[in-house]
Amino acid sequence: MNAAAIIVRTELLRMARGRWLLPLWLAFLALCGYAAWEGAAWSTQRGAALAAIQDEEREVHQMRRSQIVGELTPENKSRYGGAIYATAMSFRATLPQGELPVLTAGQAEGYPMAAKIFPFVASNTIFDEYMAGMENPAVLAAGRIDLAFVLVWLLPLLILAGSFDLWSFERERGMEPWLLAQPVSPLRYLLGKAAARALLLVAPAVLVLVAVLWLTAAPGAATLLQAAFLSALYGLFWLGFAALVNLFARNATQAALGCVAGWLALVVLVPALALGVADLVAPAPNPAERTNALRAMAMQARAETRQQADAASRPEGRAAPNIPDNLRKRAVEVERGEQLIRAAVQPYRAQDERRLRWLDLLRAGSPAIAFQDALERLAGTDAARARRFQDQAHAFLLDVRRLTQRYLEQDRLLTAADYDHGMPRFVHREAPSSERLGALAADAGVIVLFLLALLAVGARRLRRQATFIE
Amino acid sequence: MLRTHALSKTFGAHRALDGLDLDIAPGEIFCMLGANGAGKTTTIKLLLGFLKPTSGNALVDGIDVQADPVRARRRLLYLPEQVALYGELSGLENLRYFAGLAGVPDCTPQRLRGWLEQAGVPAAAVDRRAGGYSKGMRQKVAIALAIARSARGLLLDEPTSGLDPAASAEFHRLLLQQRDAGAAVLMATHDLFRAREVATTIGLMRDGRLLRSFKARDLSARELEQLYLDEMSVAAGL
Repeated sequence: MNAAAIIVRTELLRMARGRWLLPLWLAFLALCGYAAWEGAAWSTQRGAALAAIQDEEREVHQMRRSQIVGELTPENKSRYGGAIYATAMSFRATLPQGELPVLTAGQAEGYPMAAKIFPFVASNTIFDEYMAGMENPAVLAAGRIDLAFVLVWLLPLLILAGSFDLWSFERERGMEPWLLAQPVSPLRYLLGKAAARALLLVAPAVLVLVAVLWLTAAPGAATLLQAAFLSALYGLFWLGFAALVNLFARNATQAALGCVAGWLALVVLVPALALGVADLVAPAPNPAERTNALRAMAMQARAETRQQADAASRPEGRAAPNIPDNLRKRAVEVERGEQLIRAAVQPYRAQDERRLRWLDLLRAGSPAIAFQDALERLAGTDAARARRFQDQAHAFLLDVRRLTQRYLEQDRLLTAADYDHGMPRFVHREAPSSERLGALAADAGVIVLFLLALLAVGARRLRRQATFIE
Repeated sequence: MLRTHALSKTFGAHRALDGLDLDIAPGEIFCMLGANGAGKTTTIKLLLGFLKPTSGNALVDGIDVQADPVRARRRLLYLPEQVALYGELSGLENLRYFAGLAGVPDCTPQRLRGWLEQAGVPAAAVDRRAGGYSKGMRQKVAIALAIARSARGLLLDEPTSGLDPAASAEFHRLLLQQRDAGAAVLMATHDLFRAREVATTIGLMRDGRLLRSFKARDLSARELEQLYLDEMSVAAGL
């Protein structure tokens, strides 16, 4: 057996006999279990809410169809209700859950999961009905403990707790000269000790994650592998960080402080700072200002259309159409409103895009940000997917308006058959898998870069000193 | 076996070792005597490759320690003042670990027990966790390692400091066995009495320099003590 294998075997034996490993693992398992249970419960509720919204669309369509069947008789023409007109069409667009919704329950609540779409709705209000309402203050204060939180915040603590004294234990107890006098290089000691911790800390954490995801979400093998790979990479980064701290620390206390300081900096401080930088360089548009501007545009459109309508009323003696003029006027008003809204929204959208670009760039600031981003992408709760849904919902609204316009132009009424066969239906189209893989690879790349930086600093430290003890 | 040539080491302005020439042959025990700061431990650290010499070189069995420290250490066993073992492991497990690192083949439990027994570790203590071992017992595990490795060079840095007289006598008995087996031994110590008893050669060091060396049998214990005190009083400026 070579020296590296002997070091790994002995370290495993020492760790297995240590009293800290079992409580640490039990605590981590309990947290994972709780987070997965929370995530699964949330995902079930979310799934039920989405199903209810889709049911709502079906029920509305059935109701409209029944109304049409009751109204559509020639003698009833004077008593037509609203259901017979194309302007009464009503749809729901929903964002289906991703493959691993249990991973990041908390994040998804920031985005609308559905839109209510009908021809005359203003495009900036289609998500209003399904935005999250007021939350329980306890939930708001504590945040949700989801698996992403456990992995991004607590997995490093588990690894640091098990490896903060990777070498400082020996240094503090005066074993260093005795160990280094053996015919083994310091690098081999470090690698052997780190490998043992990878086996007893990182590998089981990844296995627990895989098991929990398998039980709660049953994702595809590729997604599961991606989650496992990224978690292992993140865990290895923190192991490398602990090893690096041990190259500099003079005793276990210093090493522990170094590890905690690093955790605070990379997991807590840098993400907060990154957000601060984004706020400074590319602040988010003021939502109140945006709402007011859009409302003003809508009012302006209404006023303009009324003036135009007053100026050009229908000539005397012309036969009354099937669809009343007021609906056509309203359609013109809505179209004009949309033109104004599109123009008004443009600067806010550009501001949004700029902010997103900065946030994308800033995820390279810490492995914790990159890992969180990757987990959100795997969960399907990432901002890119949410924005894609919003764009598709807006595009669907335009389709509905075009369809309505055809009915208005042809003065055609809706029929029961239209509801039976011809109604459009919103289907969310996911981004191409290459796009998602590219983003995940970029996140993994950030973690690898940080890991390489650790290795470079560690190698420099080892090269500058023949041993740890000069 | 253990050689230094014009070996020097400075720490900033302080010259810890100044042009040391040593040549310790197999079967020889060289005892370095001197006050604290005389350069004894620095010499050992340079031979182990823990420190880079400012000038000169250190050779172990002809291998330049700086050029290939790991290969040089394969031929060495270092015994510090405090041998620290992993407290969670038994004496046998500790020995298996360190012997394994040194590449000792066939580390079966029987052979490990045999080496521990030769080094004087009681059979009842072999499987006990080393966390409860006395200093003397830990030194014996280190000696067992020397036996297991058949180390050709021993570097001992005040190995008996803090040992009770019986343990100290036992340790020196084991040391003589190693010498008889052909090991070259360099020992830094303050124990004049034991040094004279076990050493082949004694060297007196002061301010990083080897002042003089002589055969241990050429001086009586009293003469050695007087010589030592004379040299040290010069060092202290008395």
